[in-house]
Amino acid sequence: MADVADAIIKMITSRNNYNGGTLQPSDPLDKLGLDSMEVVSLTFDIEEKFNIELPFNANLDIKSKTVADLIETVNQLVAARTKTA
Amino acid sequence: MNRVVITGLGVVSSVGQSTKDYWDSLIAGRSGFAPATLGTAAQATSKLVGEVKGFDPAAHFEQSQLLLLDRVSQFAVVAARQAVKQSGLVLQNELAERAAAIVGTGSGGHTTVDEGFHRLYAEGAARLHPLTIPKAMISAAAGQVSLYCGTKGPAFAVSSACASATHAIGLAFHMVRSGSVTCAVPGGTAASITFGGMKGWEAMRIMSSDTCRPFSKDRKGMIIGEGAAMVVLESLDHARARRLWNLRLLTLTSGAKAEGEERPQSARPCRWRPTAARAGRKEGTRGSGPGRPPPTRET
Repeated sequence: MADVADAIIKMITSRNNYNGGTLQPSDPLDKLGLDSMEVVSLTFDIEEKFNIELPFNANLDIKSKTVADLIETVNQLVAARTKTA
Repeated sequence: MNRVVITGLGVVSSVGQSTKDYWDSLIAGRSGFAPATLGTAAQATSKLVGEVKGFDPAAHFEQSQLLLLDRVSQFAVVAARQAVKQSGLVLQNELAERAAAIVGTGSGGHTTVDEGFHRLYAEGAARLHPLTIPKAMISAAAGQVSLYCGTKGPAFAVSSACASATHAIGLAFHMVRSGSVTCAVPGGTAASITFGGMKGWEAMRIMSSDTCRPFSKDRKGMIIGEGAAMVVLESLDHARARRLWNLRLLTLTSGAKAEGEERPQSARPCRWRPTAARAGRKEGTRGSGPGRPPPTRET
């Protein structure tokens, strides 16, 4: 689980437009400084790394989501994949 | 109606990545044809191609920018930047709003499509990169030229096979001439030397086994090349206001013929007859030279 969180945090903080500083789990996803291209690119990288499909639509509102929500979603999807494998 | 002048040129080609190198190669009779080396294209054909050898994307773009730039757009942007730089135009404020970017291309981001489909079909990938469509779509190069050069007026692609660039420049000419824009950055770009692309051309059995000799009696066919050529057009009045002199007026009076179109002769996109010739005027025309044997039946 910690591996998932570390990997996602690294993916976020390595983006060009990331605000900088220490990433907090409670940080809202729309306040990280990422532009829309980086958000879909981040989604792709997460899906590729963990072999999952994120239920993400770039047209939907992500304001209510935090980094912790994203990590939790990925953890659940990874667990589901492992269970069915 | 405005008079129209060319005030900037830019080129990325197999025989030069600047107008000077390109021109020097032409004068020296230097060929850019050689066996394919790009990706897996050599596995698809043993024919010669006109690759832009030594083109280094990192010398022109940041890594993050390249995520959005297929090779076809990279060529177009590099050539367009050259043209705008030579023109001396500062595309800001009102001038930017009245500047068009029109790029002709036959097949858009071929490399992106080829690599993406290989991932899907051959490697069994579950997904494509999210920027696949923005990179591959046929208007991608026009959009990127607009972004990088700072034009904020019309930006779109023109596609008519081998006549795409000519049609793009012709269309931009008419827009400047009519006054709908003050200046334009039109031209053409191509980058389809890929495994799939070369298989497609091989299937048509129209590629030359040695070289391309357009208009020669013993011509054997065409050679697939890649690159971009962009120009800057502006009204004569606008150029003169910028104290540009020694300008040569651009006069276009006819459409371009898609000579490279390989469908049956009767199905060509347009039947072309120089209106200049009809009118008895001495004006420039563009000859397309794919080097194919003459048609057996005139339609």
